[in-house]
Amino acid sequence: MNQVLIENLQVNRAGFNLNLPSMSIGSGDVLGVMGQSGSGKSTLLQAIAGFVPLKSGTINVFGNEISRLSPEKRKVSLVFQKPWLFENQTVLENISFGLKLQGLPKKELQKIAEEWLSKMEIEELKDRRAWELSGGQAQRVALARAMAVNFPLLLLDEPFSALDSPLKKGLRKLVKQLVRDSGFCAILVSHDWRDIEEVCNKVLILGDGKSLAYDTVRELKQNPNQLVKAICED
Amino acid sequence: MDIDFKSGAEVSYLFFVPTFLFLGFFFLIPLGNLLVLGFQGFSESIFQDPYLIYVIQFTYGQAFLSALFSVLLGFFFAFLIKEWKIFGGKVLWRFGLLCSSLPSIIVALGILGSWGKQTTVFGWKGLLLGHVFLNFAIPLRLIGNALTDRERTSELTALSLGMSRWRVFWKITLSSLQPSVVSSWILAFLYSSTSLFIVLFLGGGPRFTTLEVALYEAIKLNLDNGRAIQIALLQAGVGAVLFFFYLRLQKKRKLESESSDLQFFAPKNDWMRRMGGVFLWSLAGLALGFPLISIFIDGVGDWSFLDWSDLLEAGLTTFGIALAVVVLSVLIVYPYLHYLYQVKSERETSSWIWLIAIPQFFSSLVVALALSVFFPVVREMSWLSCLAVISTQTVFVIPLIQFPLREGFLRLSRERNWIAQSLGATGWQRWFWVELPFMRRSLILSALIGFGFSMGEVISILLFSPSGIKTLAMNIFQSMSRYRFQEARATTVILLFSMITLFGITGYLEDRDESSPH
Repeated sequence: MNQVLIENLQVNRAGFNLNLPSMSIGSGDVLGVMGQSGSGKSTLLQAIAGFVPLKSGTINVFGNEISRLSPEKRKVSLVFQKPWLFENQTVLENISFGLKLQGLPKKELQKIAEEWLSKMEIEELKDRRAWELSGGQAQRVALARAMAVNFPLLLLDEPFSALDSPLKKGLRKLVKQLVRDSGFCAILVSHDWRDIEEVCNKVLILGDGKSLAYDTVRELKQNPNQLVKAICED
Repeated sequence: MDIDFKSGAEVSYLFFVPTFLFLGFFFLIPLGNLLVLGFQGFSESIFQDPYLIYVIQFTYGQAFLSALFSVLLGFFFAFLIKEWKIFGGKVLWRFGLLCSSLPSIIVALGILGSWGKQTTVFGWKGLLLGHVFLNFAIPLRLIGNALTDRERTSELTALSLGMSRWRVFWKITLSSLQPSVVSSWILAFLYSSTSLFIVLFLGGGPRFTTLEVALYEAIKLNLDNGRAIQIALLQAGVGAVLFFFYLRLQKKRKLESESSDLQFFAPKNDWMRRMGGVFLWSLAGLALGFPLISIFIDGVGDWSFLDWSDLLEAGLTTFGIALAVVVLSVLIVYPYLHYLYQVKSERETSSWIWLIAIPQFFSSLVVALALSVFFPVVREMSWLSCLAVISTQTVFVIPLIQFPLREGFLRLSRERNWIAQSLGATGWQRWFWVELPFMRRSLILSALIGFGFSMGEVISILLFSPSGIKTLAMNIFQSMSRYRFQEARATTVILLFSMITLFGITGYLEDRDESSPH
């Protein structure tokens, strides 16, 4: 069943127009978004998260229309290419940040945060500060922080691109498994076709703010037209 | 709750209000008024006064040379500290920054007590020594930071393709450093052309008078506000032109998030690096250390002649004014930068920085004159003159503290704020839990810079309250004016000790700041 429905989204930002037809994401599925630089991938994520105003269109997440809500009320979590961890906070505090905002009792939020430390295989880092972590460790913390709040939609803006190959491979598997197990919906923006192939079920290819292709990963792999091929090879 | 993006943006315009109100009321409107008065009373006779023509030529001639020597020395120091990584480089870096933060009156006293005892320093020698001492840290910091933050891929590629290190430096590195070299020259030129005490105490006569001294004479000695306004108009014109070029260069400024430790220009032999270090330390010792040490040697001794209750009062007043200046300037700059860096786009941010950068392009005397002409009542009421001193000092602290705060906001980045917001944090929660802990070091650094400036500032006190307000720096000025150099040196030791302590704390905080790459 489709849990996230994005319909007729239009964004106008400093002369750049993003126009998208309807898209949907099922529970536990990941929608991949590809396209050249400046095609509107990050603008799409920022619009869904509420940092860029919509000109028109609706965003329905698990039955709730969120497009008129302020970003802090949308229940959409974000992960960027850089981890952007909160300074002066330990790994455990970073992961429990969103849980604390939900008003959970200290014991409960610590328990949930420790579960996520274990899922991300970073238990030994729980008392370390942000600047003491390597790039891969910091990105795991950023993913745990975004997923621990248990929001229905997770937005991933090139989260693997700054990592080296073995780390990338491990994290791709982990993200796919965690999204599937939790029943979240996720949108993954990437330049790398391997990210899309390994993590996503569907893919949207953007070019100059418009949808060039929108289909399942399997379908696009079997029948790639020339344009899609060119973008994927870019 | 539904939100309307437009009304949200309108509410956040409130962050602009304190800055516009303060700088508008205490800087832009009084300065505009002064310029209008200057234009109204402008007569070409000012350019027919041969003495004034000579003063203009001398002012900008000495400023050109002072800026040139400051940039050459600053570049040399920055290169050896950052690229050669000479021993004790960090200490030398801090020492250079401390020197530039010293009140010019202390520098004049130090040069008189050191080089002044060996040879005659009055004239060109004294002016150049004083201005280079005070200004060489501007290129040191700007060029040094540009060397650290520069993008090194092109250099690496050129070297791997067989280009010699000298050609890489000449063709690639130097061109990437160009904006910081020109910016630092502009600032050093400006500060050298508007310095007062160096010229007053080291110039040595009418042949070495600058526009700032002529302005001081017109205001304080001849009580000729008309002539003062004409001179201020000339200075403001030059300041405005320099500000225009400086702002254009600032738009090219960016902070590389990933700095690299690659060293392309370090000497292959270790002995060369050591020799470079010895040379730099000797140069710093002679040019910077010698004047400071002489103050300590001459100043520490028999202090029985000091009036300690008077000094305590001056110390407390200095601290009180500095505290008020720091609190006020942080309250004005912080919300403004928060709004620019967290709400506005990068393009809009760079086009609004001018407001908090502009005061540094006008001399303290020009701003103080503008305020006293616009609010003539301030000199008549002591509590108002105290407010005028605090306001004038705040106008000058604002452009100084915007540097560390801007760097803090650049490192904070709006993505971090977005993440907190997407996790459910409201505006206040984001500020308290994410922004404030991150900005803490920048805030402390800004406060220390503000304290340093205010503790050594004399001009605003001299103009608004010649006898009513007593500060440590004012004590030094009065002692020097009465040729009581021993008393001046003893007070300077106390002021220097407090400033060195402040800089020790600043250095420690900067070190901690560098250790957080995320």
